[in-house]
Amino acid sequence: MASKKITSTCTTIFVGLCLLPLPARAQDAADGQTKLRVRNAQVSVLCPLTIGGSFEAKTKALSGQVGMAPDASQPLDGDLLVDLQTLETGIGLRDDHLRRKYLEVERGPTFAQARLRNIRVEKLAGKTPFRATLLLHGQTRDVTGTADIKPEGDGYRLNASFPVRVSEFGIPEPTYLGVGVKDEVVVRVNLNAEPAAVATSGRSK
Amino acid sequence: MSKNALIAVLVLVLAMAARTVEAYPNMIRLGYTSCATCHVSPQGGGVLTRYGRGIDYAQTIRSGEPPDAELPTDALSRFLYDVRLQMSVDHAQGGAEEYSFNTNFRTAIAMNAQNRLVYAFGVRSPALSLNRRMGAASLGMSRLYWMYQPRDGVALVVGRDDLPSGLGLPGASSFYRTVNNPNVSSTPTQAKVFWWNRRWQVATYAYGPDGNETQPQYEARGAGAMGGVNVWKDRAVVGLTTRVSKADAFDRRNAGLFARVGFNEHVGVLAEHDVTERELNTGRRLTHLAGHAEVFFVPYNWLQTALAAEHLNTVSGASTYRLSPSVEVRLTPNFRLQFSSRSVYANTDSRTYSVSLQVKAE
Repeated sequence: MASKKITSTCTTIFVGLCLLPLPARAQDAADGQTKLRVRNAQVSVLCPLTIGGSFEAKTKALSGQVGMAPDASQPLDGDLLVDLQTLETGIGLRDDHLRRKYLEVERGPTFAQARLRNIRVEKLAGKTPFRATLLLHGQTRDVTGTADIKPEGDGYRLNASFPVRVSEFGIPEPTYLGVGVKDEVVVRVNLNAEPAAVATSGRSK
Repeated sequence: MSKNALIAVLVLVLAMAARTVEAYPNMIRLGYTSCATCHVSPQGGGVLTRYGRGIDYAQTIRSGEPPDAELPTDALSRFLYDVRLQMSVDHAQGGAEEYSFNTNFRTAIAMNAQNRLVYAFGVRSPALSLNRRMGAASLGMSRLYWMYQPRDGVALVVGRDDLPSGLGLPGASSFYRTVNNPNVSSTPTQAKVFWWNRRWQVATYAYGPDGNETQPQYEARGAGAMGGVNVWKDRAVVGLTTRVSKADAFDRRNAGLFARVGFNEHVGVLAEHDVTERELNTGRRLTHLAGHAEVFFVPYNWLQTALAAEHLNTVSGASTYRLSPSVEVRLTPNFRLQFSSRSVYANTDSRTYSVSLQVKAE
C-alpha cells in the first residue's frame, strides 16, 4: 500500500515537472509581451504527378512572427510569409515554370508571397489540428491540417502539414508535355520559433 | 580539306545536332519512382517520351525547352527516335589505347495512343589501336517489339528486348552475365506484362531463343518476374526478382533483391544482388553470387558522378570484383562527355580508363 502511494506521488511529481514549462511559456504569451519569431524554417510542397512519382518544391524563405493567443478560441496574433520566388524543385526549368507560369510571381506581392494568417491551434504542445487562412495566388481560402508542436529551448519546434487544392486558388492546371501535377498537393512546414523582441501592439503586416 | 580537319568538322556538326540518352535509375533522387514516366518502355532505357525528353533537356548546362514544347500537352508523338553516336577511347593498364565508334538508332512509332512499335539497331566499328590491330565491324538489331498499352499503368510487350531487371542498368548485368549466364542472348524473344501504379511496379515475362545464342544447346526458354514497391516518400523503391530457365546445356534458377534510394536530390544508392544456381548437363552444379552497388552524387543535374562496386563470387570457385568511378558532364541537350575507369580485381588485376563523347540527334 505504502509502495503504491510512493509510486503515485512520484508519478504526480514527474508529470508536474514535465508540464511545468508549458504554462510558463503560455503565460508569457498570454501577457501579450512575447512573440515568437520564425527561425530555421523549411516549407516543402509535395506535388504528386498524374502518372506516379512526385516532386517537392522547397524553400527556406519562411518569415514572420506570431503571438500566443490567450485561449484556443482566438487565432494566433501574426502572419507567416513564404517567398514563392525562392521555391526550388531540383530542376531549374521546372522552377521557372512553377514560379512564372503557374504561381505567376511577377504579378505582384500577393502572387510572389503566400501568407498564412488567423492561425488557430487547439493546444500549444503536442499533436493538434489547426485552421488558418491562406492567401495564395491572389486568392484567400481556409485550410486545415495537423501540427506537432514541441517546446524547445526558449521557443518551440513545429511540424505541420495541410493539403491545398491547386484549382481552388485559381492556379492554372500544372502540366508539362503530357504529365501533370494532381490537383491536391500537400504543404509541409517545419520551423523553429524563438521569442522575438518585446512587441508593442498590433498584428504584423 | 585535310582528313583531320574533316573529322573535326564532322565531330563539331554532330556535337551541335545530337544528344544521348541512357537509363538513369538515379532519377529516384527527384521522385521518379517508375521508368515509365520518362521512357516509352516501362522497364526504362531506350527512347524517351515527350515528357522524358523535356526532363532530359532540362538537366544540362544549357538547359531549355525541347522543340515540341509548344505542342498541346496531349499531342501524340507518332515518331519518336534518336540516333546516338559514341566515340570512345579505352586505355587498359599496360596496353595501348583503343578507339571505337558506335552508332545506335532507336525509334518508337505510335500507330495510335495504345500501340507502338519499337525498333533499335546499332553499328559498331572495329576497335582501332596504335599498333593498327583491328577487330570486326558489326551491325545488329538489338530490339524490335510491339507494345500495347490499354490504359495508364498497364503494358503488354512482345518481341526482342532486354529482360526486366531491378535497376535496368545494362552495364551492371553485363559484368557478371558472362559467368553466371554465359552463351545466351541478352535480348531474347519475349512476352511480358507490366503493371504499375504509385506504390507498386510489377513485370512478369516468358522468353525463348532469338538466334543469338553461341550454340543451339544454349537456346534457353524461361520465365521470370520483377516486383518493386515504393516504400518511402517516392524516394525509395525496393523489390525482388526471380527467373528460371532451361536449355539443353543447363538448368538455371535465379533470385535477387534490388533497391533504388534517393536520400535527397543529390545523393542516393542503387543496389541489386542476386544468387544464381546453374546445373550443367555434365552434372556439375554452380552457385554464383553477383551484385552491383552504386553510390551516386549529383551536385548539379548536368554533373552526374557515381562510384559503383560489383562482385561476382562462385561458391567454391573464383571471385571477381570491379570498382568503377564515373563522371558524366551534360554540356548541351545534344552533347555529353563521360569519364570512367574500371578496375577489375581477380586472379590478374587490371584497370581500364575510358573517355567517351556521346552525341545524339532526334
